Amino acid sequence: MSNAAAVSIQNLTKQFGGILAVDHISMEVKPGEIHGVIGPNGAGKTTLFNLITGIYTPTEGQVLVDGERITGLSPHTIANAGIARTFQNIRLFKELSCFENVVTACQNEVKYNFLQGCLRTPKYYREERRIQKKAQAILESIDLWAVHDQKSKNLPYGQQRKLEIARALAMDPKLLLLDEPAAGMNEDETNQLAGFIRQIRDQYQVTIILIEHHMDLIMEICDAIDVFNFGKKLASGTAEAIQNNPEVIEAYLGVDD
Amino acid sequence: MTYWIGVITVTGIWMIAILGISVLTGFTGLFSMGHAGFIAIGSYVCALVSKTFAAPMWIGIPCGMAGAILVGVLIGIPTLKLKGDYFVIATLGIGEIVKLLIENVPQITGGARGLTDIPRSTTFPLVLIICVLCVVFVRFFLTSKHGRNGIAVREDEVAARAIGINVARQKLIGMAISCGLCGLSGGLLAHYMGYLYPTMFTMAKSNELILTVILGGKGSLTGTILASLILVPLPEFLRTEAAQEWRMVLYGVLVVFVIIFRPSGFMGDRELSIKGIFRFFKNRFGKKAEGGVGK
Amino acid sequence: MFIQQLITGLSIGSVYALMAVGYSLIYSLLNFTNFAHSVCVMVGAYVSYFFLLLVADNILAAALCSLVVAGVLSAIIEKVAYQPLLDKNVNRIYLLIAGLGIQIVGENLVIVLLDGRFHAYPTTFSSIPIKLFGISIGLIDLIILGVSSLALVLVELLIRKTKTGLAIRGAASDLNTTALMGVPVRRLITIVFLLAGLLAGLAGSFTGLKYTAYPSIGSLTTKAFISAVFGGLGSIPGAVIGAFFLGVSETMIAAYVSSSLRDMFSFVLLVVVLVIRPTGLMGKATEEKA
Repeated sequence: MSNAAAVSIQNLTKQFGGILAVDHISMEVKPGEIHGVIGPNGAGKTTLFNLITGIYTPTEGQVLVDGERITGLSPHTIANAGIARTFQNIRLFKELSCFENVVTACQNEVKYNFLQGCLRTPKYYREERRIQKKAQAILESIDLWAVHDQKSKNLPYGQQRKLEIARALAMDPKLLLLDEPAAGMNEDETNQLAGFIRQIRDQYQVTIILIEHHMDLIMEICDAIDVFNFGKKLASGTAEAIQNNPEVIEAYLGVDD
Repeated sequence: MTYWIGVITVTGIWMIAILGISVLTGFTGLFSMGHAGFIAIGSYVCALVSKTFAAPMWIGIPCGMAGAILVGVLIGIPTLKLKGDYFVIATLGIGEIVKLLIENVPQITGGARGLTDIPRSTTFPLVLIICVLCVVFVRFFLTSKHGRNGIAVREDEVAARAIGINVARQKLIGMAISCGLCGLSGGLLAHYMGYLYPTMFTMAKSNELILTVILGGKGSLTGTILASLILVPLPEFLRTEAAQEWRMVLYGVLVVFVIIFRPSGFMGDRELSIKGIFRFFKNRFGKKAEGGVGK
Repeated sequence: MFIQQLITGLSIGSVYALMAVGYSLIYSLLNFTNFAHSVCVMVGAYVSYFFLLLVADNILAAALCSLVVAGVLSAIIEKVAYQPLLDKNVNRIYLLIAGLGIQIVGENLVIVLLDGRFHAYPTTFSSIPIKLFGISIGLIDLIILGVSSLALVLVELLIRKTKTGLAIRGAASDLNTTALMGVPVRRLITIVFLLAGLLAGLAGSFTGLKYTAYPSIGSLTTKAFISAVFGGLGSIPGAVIGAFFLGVSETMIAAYVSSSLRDMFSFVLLVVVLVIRPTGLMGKATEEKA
């Protein structure tokens, strides 16, 4: 079940007032790749995610996933096409349990209609049982089953980040956008995260684009990296090439956090 | 005895409307200031159909419901897409317009003098049955995909969109259900009272209904039901006028306190169930562990 | 006749503007409809009534008194009810509900403690007409229009020319960034509530003078909401323009068409604006930040 996607971003531009938050960016992501996007704060990384997922409409340019143009579609259509994301400032359904968070995210594959849902037809029970099993499997595979009936807002920070990824996985994504998954994690958790992201990629056959500030993490797991600065693409290549690129060192790596 | 059956019947009728508002506010996260207007639409359309065509109420009531849903959806389509309080203010406007319309076309609605001689065909068993059906319907809705999507929208619209929920459509579903139930409640009310006045459907009434939902607990169906059963017949227990007036003060104070200290309301988002009560007692007397009403 | 109606309309519009500016200020900062605003208007109306009844027959002094009391009340409401909610960073809808609760408490408390009747201001002042170029114009309309306009100009100056005003404008465009830049946002919010309360108190005094004081007088703030929506939620110039437009149109409709259609017009206008151009005259659609 290889559902990983290839992404092609072409000349993507977003202007806010007089500021070019994303300035004619083009990049390619190969299927099954873990693709890192790095750059200082305000470099336009999260804006890039918002453009891909349709929260913002680009001023110029387009995004193709598996050769199909997704630019201009509404956010929920893009999500239902298999493009899932997490958020920099965790956006879980706080009052719902972990299990409910994941079950809710299965909504696109649930095939009964409004009337069948309210009348409790056999199809309703069949579909509900199926997604509940699926949600359980996902939570088990990432070690969250033990807390499945806890309210998501009561989880420790690291688990909330994991749950957000679990919720994204419930959508059967072909492309997964992770926005600073290691933010707020301690060193231990960050180290675990590297293995976790690889495991997801292999197990769920998904292409991953990853925004991160933890250089160690990026360098360790990314197959390819793009470096942003002031909305422009500064460099791209493998971890090694990036680390030795003088421009990158000057703009980003040379500066202490 | 007949008196108390009357009180219970009226409580049931209003509870149907409150259930509708609960779907909108408690489970979709939208706040309406004008749902008395939708009850008014339901009741007047139903009463007029019944009176003009001498139709039985099982024809009139669906007409009233359809009218309420139609108006609700028409106002919802442009406003629900917007961020901010546009929807709240729009519902406030609709509530007032409906009342003013009724007052200003006396040829049809009887104006401020009211509409009288509506056949009094709503009975206690009928209300009871419809109430139970409505509770079951709402419960089934909430535990289906569409209900869950609504709750996701209430929790976080951006995240809901990111998992593929069409937020605007989901809000319209919430609006349609709430308007439909309010229309139903209005139709039953018209045929129970036998008369209708525009002043039965003021903004104060809208506020009272939505406060009942909030006090019961946004996101708790049993909380909503309990709150309706306690708060709607309350005026009947408080017979003196002074007590009646203090009642609304108390409502207001309670709401402010609940919002500040217990924002999730009286029941929170927990549901009361037989199993939950059983577990509560078992925990209390068995292990002395922290127990409670649970899912 | 027409000029007379126009002045009346403008004076009503100016009172709507006082309420709408306060509403818009708070909305632009915190993105919620402050229903407690109506309590400030109502208290303003009653304070002026009692001032005229018990202290002196001087409407300007009464208005000043209303202004101060309502301003303080607004700041207290913000401190007691909204601040704890803002601290918890809850969904904005909770603020709205708390405001609604305060509105209901205020309105019913007046009924319980006082009565539900209409109280005409005990002043001889309201009936004095003056002659201007052969047209007789109500003196109160001129005073209301004059004082309200003055108040609006002062608020505009405060927002445009002072440091606090700059901070308010900054906070209106992005509250969090303003906080990060070291502006004491907490105090700024209180100042804005105080300002809104001052304007509401003045508006309450003037509406009381025109229509008498009664418990649900605060519901006139719905006209301020309509003005603000008409002008574009959160836009202060929009709210003022919307308020004057609404005041004049209402008066003209009452005078030349039918007074029973006056309110109908306002609410239909609201719904038509929401359906056709929901972001209002000056409003702009904003993109949501994720």
